Amino acid sequence: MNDLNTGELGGAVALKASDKPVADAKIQVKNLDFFYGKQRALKDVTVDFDANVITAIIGPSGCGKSTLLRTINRIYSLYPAQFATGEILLDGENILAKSCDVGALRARVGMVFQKATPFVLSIFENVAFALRHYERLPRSEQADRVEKALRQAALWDEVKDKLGQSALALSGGQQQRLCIARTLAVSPEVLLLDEPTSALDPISTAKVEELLSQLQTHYKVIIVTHNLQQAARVAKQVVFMFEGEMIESGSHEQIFVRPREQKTSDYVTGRFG
Amino acid sequence: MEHTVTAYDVELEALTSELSRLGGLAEAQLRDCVGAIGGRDEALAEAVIARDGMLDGLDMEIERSAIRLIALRQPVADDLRRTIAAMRISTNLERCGDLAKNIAKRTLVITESTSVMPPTSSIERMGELVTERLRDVLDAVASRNVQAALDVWHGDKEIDEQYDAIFRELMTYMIADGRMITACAHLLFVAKNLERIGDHATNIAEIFHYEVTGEPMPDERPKSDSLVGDRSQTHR
Repeated sequence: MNDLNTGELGGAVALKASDKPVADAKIQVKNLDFFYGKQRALKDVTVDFDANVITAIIGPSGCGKSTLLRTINRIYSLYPAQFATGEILLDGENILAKSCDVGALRARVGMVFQKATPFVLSIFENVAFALRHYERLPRSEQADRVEKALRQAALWDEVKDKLGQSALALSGGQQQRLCIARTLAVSPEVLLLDEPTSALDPISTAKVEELLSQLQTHYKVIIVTHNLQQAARVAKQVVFMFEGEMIESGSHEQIFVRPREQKTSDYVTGRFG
Repeated sequence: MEHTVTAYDVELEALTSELSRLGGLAEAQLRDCVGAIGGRDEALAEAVIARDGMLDGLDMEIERSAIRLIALRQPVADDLRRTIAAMRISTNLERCGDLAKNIAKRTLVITESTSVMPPTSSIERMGELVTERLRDVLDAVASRNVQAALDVWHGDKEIDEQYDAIFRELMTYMIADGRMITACAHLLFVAKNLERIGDHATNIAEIFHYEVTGEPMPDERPKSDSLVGDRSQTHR
């Protein structure tokens, strides 16, 4: 087991606990280390994220799942003491390279957080703000793009008659779908969601999960969740992290019916964590 | 390692314990129905028939416990396979019980009839072999021994061969003495029921293999059924 993540034998060993690499991986993480100052939070992580399926990253508190997510759109770059080494290839291009345009990256890779983060603006302006940041569009086209994003987020029918109202007046579930719409407005390729339904009631959770199922055909969706039933319901690929290491990556059937690693089995069956 | 929620472990252990009880009952039914044939023991045959209800009740209880576990615990991985395996093994054991009851009923019919009785030593030997196989597979499950279960799985061919031999033996008795036809006809069904119990023991071995490894058996089940004949020969 120790050989899995020392990297002594290179990538072939690090992939030992994974399914065979998928030919069309959207994102390939290779030998990724991440540091919060001197503290090493990710240890030689190597994993492929399959295209056009939802991938769930699971693991106990402090395992590094949110840290891994935050490397994929380099949001950690906002904080000087945080840095990453290794490679993350998005369609073959290393996004950790110094030459990478981080602003453009964050249009391609959108993020939604556990707590909904609507701006203190109207519903319309919340979505239009993101558009205006990246594109110069005539007002009519802006309106069309806002409508399209709200429809994609399955929110249009609920808000079409009150686009001018404050986003803060929406329910928690609606605010979260508004945040998803805001992300979708700039036509990303990847959606990162960090425990997006932890603060929502079961019905809102179901609506967001249904939305994600529809979005996966057009976007690469990666969701961090501590809700194992949610991971089993929505994700086709599951990655299990523990103490900063990638322990096992595989199909949801493999992870939840016949996991290969004892630690994975212990975690999903509720024997620790 | 135990579950963080201890009640979960308690429920899983209870399921395993109920399954062990059902296994013990099925084994006793089989042993007694075979003993009843050899000893022409009507009282023993009647006891087997009367006891069948206990196996039915226990099978239903196991199904209820497993369904409850699935609904309330959402088991995954080996807990899921263990729960599903318990339900499926229970069904197979309940069927063994039904077949043993059927054998006991036929024993009563033969014993009470005026038909001439053929020798039953071959059937008794087959009954002992099947009893041993059932005991072996249940021991394998209790001790979590996959290799022992595989041995039972491979041994199904021997039971099939014994059934073929008994079939031919009973045919010769019927041809030789018409007064034996009634008893032999019943004994044909008895032999068939024993062969079916052997199949159920093999099913249990397959289910247990999947429970432990998460994979189906790698090979085709070894079968030997020469009674139907080689159709490629007859169509030459």
